[in-house]
Amino acid sequence: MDPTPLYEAQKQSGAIFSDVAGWVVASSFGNPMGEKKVVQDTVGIADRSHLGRIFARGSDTLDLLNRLTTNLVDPLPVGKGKSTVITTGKGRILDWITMLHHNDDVLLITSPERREAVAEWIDMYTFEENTTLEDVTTSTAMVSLLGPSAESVLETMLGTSVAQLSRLDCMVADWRGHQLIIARTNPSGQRGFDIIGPSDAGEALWDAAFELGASPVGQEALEALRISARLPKWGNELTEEHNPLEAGLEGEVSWTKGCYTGQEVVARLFNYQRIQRHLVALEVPAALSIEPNMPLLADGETAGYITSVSTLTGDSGVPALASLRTAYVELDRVLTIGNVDGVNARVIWVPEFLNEGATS
Amino acid sequence: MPETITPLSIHITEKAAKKVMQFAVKDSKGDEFGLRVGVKGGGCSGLTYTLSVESGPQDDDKIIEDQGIRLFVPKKSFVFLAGTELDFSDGLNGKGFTFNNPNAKSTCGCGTSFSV
Repeated sequence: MDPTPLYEAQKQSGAIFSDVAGWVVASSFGNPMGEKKVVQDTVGIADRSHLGRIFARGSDTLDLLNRLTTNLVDPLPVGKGKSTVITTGKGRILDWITMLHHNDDVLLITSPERREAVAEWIDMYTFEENTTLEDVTTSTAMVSLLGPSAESVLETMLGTSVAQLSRLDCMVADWRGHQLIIARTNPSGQRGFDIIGPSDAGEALWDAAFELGASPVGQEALEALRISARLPKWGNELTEEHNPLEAGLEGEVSWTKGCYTGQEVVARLFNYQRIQRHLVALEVPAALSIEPNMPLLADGETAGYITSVSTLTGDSGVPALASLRTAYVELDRVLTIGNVDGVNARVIWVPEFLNEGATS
Repeated sequence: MPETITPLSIHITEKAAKKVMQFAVKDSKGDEFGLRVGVKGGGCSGLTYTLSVESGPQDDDKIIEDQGIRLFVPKKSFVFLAGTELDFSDGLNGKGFTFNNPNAKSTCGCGTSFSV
């Protein structure tokens, strides 16, 4: 396992570490429930250096990525960002990425496990385009300030306003001799900012935010928030077996931009109402050993399976996400968790486009 | 051991060649003109064809002559196009230039994109 540039700083803050995609990542700082509350109420700082970071450079970069991904990403003015899905010719997910256009470069942020797959895919489809890729994951650090007070802490750190940044807007800032990329994001469903800079700026960023009142937050708390926000994640909801519509990413698909790899399949599934399964949110009972991949049953039939379960109890049960066959997708439907006798889960959210009649 | 024969060229039909000649004359491409044939990422199936009449080849282009027309093929594209026949279908229902590509495992509905 590789340590991130924030390893020592987090160790000193009392981190309990675990392995995420070959990286040593802080799972918590001893109080994940408290860390979750910090993000909801004030401001937390989290190390997200284990995510992939690839610079894409060259005059054809946006055109190329517009042809390879689901969202409209060309034009994408400098200072703007977009999230989009790289799909295969069969419309399956290669990864859900964020593109940040700053200066003359586009920074691609990938899932931790997918940076090599993304780079190889783009490289394979680069023919005569003026586009080059540089994987900077190991030479940069990425920290996130999350929560209602993130903006004021960041502004104090930088000595400049970031209030003008809308979601996924980005800017470059000079800080203590380092050039940082700042982007407004919501990686766990909470408003916040990603800060990307050289590795040797990582610890200083961590310490500066800590001194201004940001509390360390680990992956366990971020996972609980992600699941509550119904955001899919690679390896859980996002796999090469799913298409974007099945994974709750219909909002990342442009229906008007024209062809991209996988477009024909994705458009046909949507227009002819042939989406086989959907991402839904569940509430499952607390204090039970419920894990991803457990089957969900309805009237003795397999209706789907659990994809993510929070380790933290919510207001009225434990939030979870599941992939359900379309016939069983219904608010308040009660499903039996297959491996746990007599234990039920309840559907508490279905994708909004289903409520608009897309598959009715 | 039986010898595997791989079609290593790209062909153009007489009809397609005539059409290319018309474009070259109309656009005054000069005596060294050729048809640049390539592929790029995108289209519904992953790869899509590119065609343009050019005044001359680019460095590293493979040059193939057929039906009196020079075809300029970028090296990386050639792998995906070896054995392809380029045809032209005109008329109201015609599809214009079409590719009969033996490397294509699947083709999208409109025929302009393929996967290998």
